[in-house]
Amino acid sequence: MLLFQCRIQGDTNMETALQIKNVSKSFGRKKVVDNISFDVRAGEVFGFLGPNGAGKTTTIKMVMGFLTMDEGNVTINGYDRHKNYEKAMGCLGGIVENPEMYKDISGRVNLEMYARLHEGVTRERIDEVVALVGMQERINDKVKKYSLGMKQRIGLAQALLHRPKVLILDEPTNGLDPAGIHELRDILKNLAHEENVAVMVSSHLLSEMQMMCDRVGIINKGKLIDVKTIEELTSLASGEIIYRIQTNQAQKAAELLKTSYPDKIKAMSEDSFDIEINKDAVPGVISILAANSIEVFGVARLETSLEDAFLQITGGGLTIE
Amino acid sequence: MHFFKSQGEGLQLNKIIALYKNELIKISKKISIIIFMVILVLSCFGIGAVIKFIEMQSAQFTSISSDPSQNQFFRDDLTTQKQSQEAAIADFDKQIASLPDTPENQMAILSLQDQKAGAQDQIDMMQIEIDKEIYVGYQTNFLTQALQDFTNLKSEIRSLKSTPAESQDALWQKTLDEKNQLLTDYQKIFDSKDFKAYVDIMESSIKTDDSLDADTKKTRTEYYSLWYQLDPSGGMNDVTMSNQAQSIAQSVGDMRRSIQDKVDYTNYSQSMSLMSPVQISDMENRLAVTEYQIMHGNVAVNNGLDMNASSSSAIFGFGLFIIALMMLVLAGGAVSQEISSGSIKSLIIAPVKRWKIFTAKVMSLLTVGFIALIVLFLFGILSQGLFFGFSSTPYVYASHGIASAIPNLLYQFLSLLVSYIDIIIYMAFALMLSVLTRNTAVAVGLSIATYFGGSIVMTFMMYLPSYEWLKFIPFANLNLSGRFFPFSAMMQSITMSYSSMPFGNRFSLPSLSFSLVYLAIFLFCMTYAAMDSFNRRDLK
Repeated sequence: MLLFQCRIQGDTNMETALQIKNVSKSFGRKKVVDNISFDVRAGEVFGFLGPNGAGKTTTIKMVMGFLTMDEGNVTINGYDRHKNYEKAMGCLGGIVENPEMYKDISGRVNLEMYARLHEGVTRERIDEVVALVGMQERINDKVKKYSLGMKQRIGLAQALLHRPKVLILDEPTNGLDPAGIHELRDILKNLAHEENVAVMVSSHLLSEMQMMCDRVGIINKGKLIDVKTIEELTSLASGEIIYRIQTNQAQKAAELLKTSYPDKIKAMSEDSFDIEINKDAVPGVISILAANSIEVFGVARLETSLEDAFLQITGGGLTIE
Repeated sequence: MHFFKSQGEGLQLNKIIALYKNELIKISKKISIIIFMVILVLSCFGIGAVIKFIEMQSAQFTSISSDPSQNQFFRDDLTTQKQSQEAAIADFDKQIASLPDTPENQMAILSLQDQKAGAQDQIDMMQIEIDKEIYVGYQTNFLTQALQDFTNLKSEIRSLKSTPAESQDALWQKTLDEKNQLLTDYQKIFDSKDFKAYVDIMESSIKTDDSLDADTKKTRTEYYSLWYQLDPSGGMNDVTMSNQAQSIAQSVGDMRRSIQDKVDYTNYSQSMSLMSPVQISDMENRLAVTEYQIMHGNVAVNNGLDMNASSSSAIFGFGLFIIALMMLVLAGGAVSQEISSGSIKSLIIAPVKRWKIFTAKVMSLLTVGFIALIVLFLFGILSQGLFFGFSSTPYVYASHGIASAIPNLLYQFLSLLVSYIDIIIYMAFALMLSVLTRNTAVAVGLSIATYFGGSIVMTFMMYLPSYEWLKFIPFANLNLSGRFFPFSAMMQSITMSYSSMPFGNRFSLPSLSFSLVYLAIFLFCMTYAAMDSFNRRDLK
C-alpha cells in the first residue's frame, strides 16, 4: 500500500527528496544560519542534531516558508521553492515547534480545513490518518480540550494528511509520554523505510537520534559541522571505553594497574574503580587482578561515548542561548 | 531535468476559494461575532420599541384632545381674564368721567377711549373664544389665526372710521366696505369652522389688496393653497403637522422667489446675498424634490416628526455602528491573532502563497460585513414595519431641476451599502494595523479610537474656515451616505429648523467624485501596505 506517494510526480531520481543548498539567515547582525547545505534522501530518517540555539529551528522554518532565506535555495521533491512555491510546498508536511490549530474548532474540521488546501485528500484519507495517530475517539472534540500529547498527534495527522514526500518534524517528542515516543518512532521509521518518505527530525537529544535516525547532520553555531550515518557516529566512539570494575580491594588493584596502565584510572571508591581502556585490554586487566588474588565481582561497560563523540565534533562546547 | 507545466489560473482561484471557505468557518466559530450579531438583531427591535414609546408619549402633546376638563380649564382662565378686562374698562370709564370736558383734556380722553375700545375688543374676542371654543392662547390652527386677524381688523375699521369727514372719499368707502365684508366672512368661519372657506377668504383678500405687487400676490396665494393641500384640517387635527405644512408652504414660496430673483431668501440667519450658479442649481433641485413630494402626497408623512423616518435612521444608524465595531474587532485580529496563537503555521505550511491567504482574509471580512448588513436591513425593515407600518415613501432626488424617485426599500438598501464603504475604509485601516503591528489590542483599539475620533474631527472642521488642504483629511471624505443621498435629510431640515439647510456653506466638503477617488487611492495604499508586509515579513 503506497500510502505516502506524493501525488505530483517530481524528479524521478528519488534519491534526494529534500535538498538544502547554501542557505543563510541573519537576524540583525547575527548570522543564525551560515551557508548550510545538505540533502535528505527518500526512505531515510535524517536527524538534525545540535544544541539549543544552534540554528535547527531557523533552518527548518526557512524550509517550511516561515522565514525568508537571505541566501541559498531549497528544493523539495525536485521542485525549486523559489520558482515553484506551491508545488514544492505540496510535497512537504511538517510541524514546527508546537503544533497549533484553531482552538474553537474540532480536530476533524481543522483537518478538513487543511485538506481543502491540498489536492486529492479524501474524507477516507482523513479517517485513515486519524486512525494512524490513534485519535479516533477525540477527533470531534474542540482542539482547546486536547492535551499537549493529543495536539502532537493531531499535528502529525495534519502533517501526513496529503501524503507528503518530505516530512519535517521539529522536536517531535516534546510532550509525548514514553509510550507515545515509542509509537512515534515506529510511525516515522515505517514511513521512511516502507513508504519511502524522506523524514527529517530535529532534536537536541542524541539518544533519541540514535534510536530512530539513519543519518545525522550536526549543526552548531549556525554551521553544519558534519553529516554522518549513525554507524559512523558510533564508530567514532569506538576507541577507549570506561569500564567499572567492582572489587573489595579497589585501592590495591589500582596500585597494581598503575604500572601497566598509567593515567587510565578515572575514579575510585571503596568497592569499585573506573578504568578507561580499549576493549582488547579488558582480559589483560582481569588476568593481572586474578594473578594478584584480587576478587572481581563484576566488570561493567559504562556509557557509550556517543555524547563524547558529539562534543568532540561540535568542538567540545555547547552554545547556550 | 523535467519541465513542469504550470497549472494556470484555475488552480490559483481554487486555492483562494478553499482559503476563503476556511476563513469563513473560522469567523463563524468566533464567539465575539455571535455576540455582535445577537446585539445587532436585538438592537433593531429595541430601538424600534423605544421610538414607538417616545411617539406614544409625544402623541399626548401633539394631538388636540377634546378633553372636557381641559376645555373647562381654558374657559375658566378666559373668564378670569375677561373679568380683569371688564374691570379695566370700568377703570377707563371712571378716568374719563373724572376728566373735565375741556379742550386741553381732549387728547387724553381720546386716548383713554381708544384704550377702552381695545379692551372691549379683547373682551369680545374672549367671548368668541368661549362661545366657539377657539382658544387662541392655547392652540394653533387656522381659527386662532382668523380670530387674531379678526380682532386686528376691528381696530383697523375703528381707526378708519375716526378719519376726518373731509378725507372720507370713495376709496375710503371702498376699503371700509371690504373690511366690513371681511369681518362678516370671519364671523361665518367661526361658526362653520371651514378651513376651505378661510383659504378662499384669504386668497380673495390678497387678490383685492392693491398694496401688493403681482409676485407677492402669487407667492401668498400659493402659500394658502399649499397649506390647504398639505393640511386640509387647518391644524384642527394635528398642530405639528399643521406647522410643518405651513413651513413647507413657506419654504416653497421662498425657494421659488429665490430662484427667480437669484437671491437667497430661505436662510433667515444670513443677510440676503446673491446666489452662485451652483447654489441656484442646488435650490432648483431642492424645490423640484419638494414639489415632487407635495404632488405625490408624501410631505405630510415624510416630515421631521415622522416616526417611520426617525426610526429608520436610528435603527440603521445604530446597526451600522455595531457592524463597524464588529468588523474592526475582526479585521484588527485577522492576522495578529493568528500569529499570536500560532495557528498561522498551518496556513504557512500549506501549499498556498501568502498573498492568497491575505486575499482570502480580505474577501471573508467583506463577506461577513455584507452578511451583517443584510441582517441589519432585513431586521431593521421588519422592526420598522412591526412598530410603525411598512413605509412606502420613496426617496426623491433631483438633478438639473428634475425630480425622480426610487422605492423606499431600494433606497434604504443602497444607503446601507454606501455606508458600508465608510466601514470598509476603517476596516482596511484595522487590517493594516493588524499586519504591521502584529498586536491585536493595538490594531483594534487604535482603529476603534479612529472611528470615534473621525466624527469629532469632522465636528471641529465644521467650524474651521474652508481651507483647501482640509479636503485631504480622510475624515472629510467619509460619511458618504449623506452625500450620495443629500435629499434624505432635506424635508426633515425644512420642517425642523428652517434656517439650517444640509447645503450649509460654513465648511465646503470636497466634491463627491474627489472623495471617491481619494478614498479609492487611500484604500489601495492601506491594503497594499498590509499585503506587502504580510507577504514579506518573517514569522518567527
